[in-house]
Amino acid sequence: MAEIRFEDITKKFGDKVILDRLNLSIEDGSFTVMIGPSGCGKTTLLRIIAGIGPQTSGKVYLDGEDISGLPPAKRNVAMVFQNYAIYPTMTVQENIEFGLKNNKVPKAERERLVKEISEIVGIGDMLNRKPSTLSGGQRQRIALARAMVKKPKVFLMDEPLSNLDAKLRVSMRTELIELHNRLKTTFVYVTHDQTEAMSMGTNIILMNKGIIQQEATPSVIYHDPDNLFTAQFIGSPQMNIIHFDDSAVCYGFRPEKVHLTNEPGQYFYTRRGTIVTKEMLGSETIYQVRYAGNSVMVKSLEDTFEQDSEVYVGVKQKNILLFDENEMRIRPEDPRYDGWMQKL
Amino acid sequence: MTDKSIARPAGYKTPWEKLRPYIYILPAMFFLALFTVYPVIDMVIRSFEKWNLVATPTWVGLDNYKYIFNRKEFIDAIWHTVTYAIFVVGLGLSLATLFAVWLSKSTFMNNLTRTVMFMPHVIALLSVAMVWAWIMNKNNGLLNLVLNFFGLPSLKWADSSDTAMMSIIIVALWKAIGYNTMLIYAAIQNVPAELYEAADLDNANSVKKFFKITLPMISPQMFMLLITATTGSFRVFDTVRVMTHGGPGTSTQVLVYYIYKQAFILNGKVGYAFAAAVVLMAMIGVLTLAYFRVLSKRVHYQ
Amino acid sequence: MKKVITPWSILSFLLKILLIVVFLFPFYWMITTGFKTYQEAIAYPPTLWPKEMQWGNFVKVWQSGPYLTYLLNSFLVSIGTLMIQFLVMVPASYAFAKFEFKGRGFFFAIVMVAFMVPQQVTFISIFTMMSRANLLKTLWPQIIPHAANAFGIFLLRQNFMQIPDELLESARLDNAGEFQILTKVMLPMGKPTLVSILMLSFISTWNDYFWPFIMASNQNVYPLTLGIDALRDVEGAFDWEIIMAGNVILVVPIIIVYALFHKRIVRAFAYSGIK
Repeated sequence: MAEIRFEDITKKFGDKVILDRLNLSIEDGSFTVMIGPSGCGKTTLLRIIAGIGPQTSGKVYLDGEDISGLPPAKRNVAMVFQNYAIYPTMTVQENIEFGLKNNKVPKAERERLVKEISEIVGIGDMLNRKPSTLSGGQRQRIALARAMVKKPKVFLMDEPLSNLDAKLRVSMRTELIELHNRLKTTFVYVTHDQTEAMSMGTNIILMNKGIIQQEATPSVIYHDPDNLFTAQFIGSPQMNIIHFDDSAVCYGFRPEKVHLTNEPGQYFYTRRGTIVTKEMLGSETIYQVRYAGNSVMVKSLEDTFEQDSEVYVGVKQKNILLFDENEMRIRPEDPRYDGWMQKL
Repeated sequence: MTDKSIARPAGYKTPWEKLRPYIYILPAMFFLALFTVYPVIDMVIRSFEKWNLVATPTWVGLDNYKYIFNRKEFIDAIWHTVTYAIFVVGLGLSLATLFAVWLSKSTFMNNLTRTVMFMPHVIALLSVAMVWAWIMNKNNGLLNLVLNFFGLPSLKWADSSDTAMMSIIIVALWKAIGYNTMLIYAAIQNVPAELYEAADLDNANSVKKFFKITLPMISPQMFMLLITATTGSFRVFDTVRVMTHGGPGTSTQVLVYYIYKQAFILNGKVGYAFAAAVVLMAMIGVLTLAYFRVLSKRVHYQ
Repeated sequence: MKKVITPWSILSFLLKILLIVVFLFPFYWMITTGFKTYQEAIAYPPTLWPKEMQWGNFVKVWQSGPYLTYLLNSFLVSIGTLMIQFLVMVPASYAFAKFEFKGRGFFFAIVMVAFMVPQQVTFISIFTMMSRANLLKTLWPQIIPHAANAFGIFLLRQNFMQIPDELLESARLDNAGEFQILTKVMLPMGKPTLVSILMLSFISTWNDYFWPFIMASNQNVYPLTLGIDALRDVEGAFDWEIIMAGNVILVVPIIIVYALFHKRIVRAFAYSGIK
């Protein structure tokens, strides 16, 4: 099946090392989202799969086959670019069938495929138009159609929705998910938008500076992060992180896991603080509470607490996450866990 | 004097403010009127007159035109100019496109080659013509020495009516190719790299990529280059003056040279010079108009 | 990225070397010929480097006519043209770019049309103009007809149009007068384009042959190009080594400037051609 495997991938641009002996597997049929800050290497990896920005060393396997030296056209992958990369001087039809024509697909077959795919994508009635006369969303669909018509083993997408307006982005997101469910082909999707990542992906690969921080399902990444970077990258507002006195070890909890009460509660972790700011968002309210020199964000369904009032924050033990001096997670099974928990 | 255009009803301008832009464009308009508009009108009017620069001109209607169009020398001049333009532009642009694509990657060798090729463009045409006249000298010139070295016979280059036109075309090409290549290269740089990447995924080979992506994408700049190169070729003078004086005989006499001769060498024939100049302007005008016409249709735009 | 050496890459490399030779060699030939004796210049087999540097050739060039005058004239005409173009171009481009006034389209159309009218068409009329005004014995006919640089006005206007109006408005709110807006806001932001335009203008004026050929009626107003041309009429047979030496004087300064600033120069030429 169309599993993708990276083996000891290194990528250098001149002297700059972007990826260093990276190993990774992408599950067949998954909708894998690669996410991370700018420059983390996610797009680089995508382009390595496509063969348009080949690795400096290392191997890439698709479906068990070594595609490392193959030209892009022979890899059986399709890509949707951020800026669509639609050929401006060709009609929509010519754009979609360009690859088929180059692969000597007979005319009748070509026309059938183009018609079929363009109907699915919703551009069936614009085949004779030029891209310059179409909107961004429509151009994106052309790019999608062009990719689909290749019937590839893998769909690669490089931030395809980032140039669309917000409303279109949301609807296209759903369409892409439906497309994936329908085709059941492997999707590798690069984005920097965590909402997209969390809502679309079956698997998430979080990267930073060329290193994979964590690969897991959205749920696991959210609730059980491997390290501090992951914990803080995913989630809005960010997870609250507080250091133990004079220590590089820290603990954290998500804003929505904090209980606010007027009287001290029966929680494992209880502190008394003052509400510094209050943001009413309608369905929920975000408070900033200060105590002992710490500033903690709280997401609550209660909007009754007033600014400058005294309040008690409470967090259940299971919702407190520990991170050691190397920013790695200390889980309950870890021998060090109890020691630090007692300090709270 | 400062204008504080804050506390006033919108759209209101003082007389000074209304006048200001006109004053700003005044010097430019004055010089343009004096040295472009007036001479053109003057030239057109005088082309209908007989004049020897001294006495008062007399109106002769289309006589001047009839005269020059009946003269083989004039028709030849047009023909020479057109031939020259076709070769210089045709060869110049196709070779330049080839070079631009071949040298399009930014490597040391490519950058060096492009930079060296461009240099003749900033050198005076006079000097270019002179050094090539020397290189093409039929007795002692380097070119014949090289030909002889390879066992080929010497050519008379600028001294023979068979090879003179070829000689000035070579000189023009040598001067212009680097410039054309640079321009086309710059246009190619503006084509988004992503298009080529998508084409790679679409299994397009280099030839396909050139004709289906590169060429259409640079067609605006190519077209403009085509027009400017052609109208520029119509205006050639320096090379002819330096290398051949329009000869041998009149084998390399181009239109501008003909005009110059009629106006300054032959006495009392200024009317003919004006008529010929009007023809030259018409040729350039027609081309430029064609440019703007075709611009809106065939050239591909984003 | 491993570099693969194929037969094509070797051929490609050799062809590039060939191109470089083809485009550099004539200059090399010109310069070395300028330093040879006449005998050596026409010798067979030809020598690649002069046996002895004949600096005397340059002295002969210098003495063949009022060369100091020629040099001076070239500078005066080039710099003079530059200055007058600057003074004419800047306000005009500013007005076309930033002001709305009746007839703006019409006047700008005149600029565009002028852009297409070549000097090979207007020279006769302008010559008679200069003759009547008795200016033929001066440098003025070489300078003032070029005062309105239509191409420059067009480019500079384009550049000015891209300067945000908000900058001008905030300057006005800061009580800046028109002159200050021009000098403190427009000019600094238009500097790169302006420098490019003026550089192109300088080079083309310095290299100009046709126009001074028509307009300069006596030796005193010859620029360098005409002075070099005059070398050919010395004594019938061409003294190639002298002629080449003369061209060296004309060309070497430009070659040096190009070697130092080629990036800037190429950008000025190449990108002014992009619409």
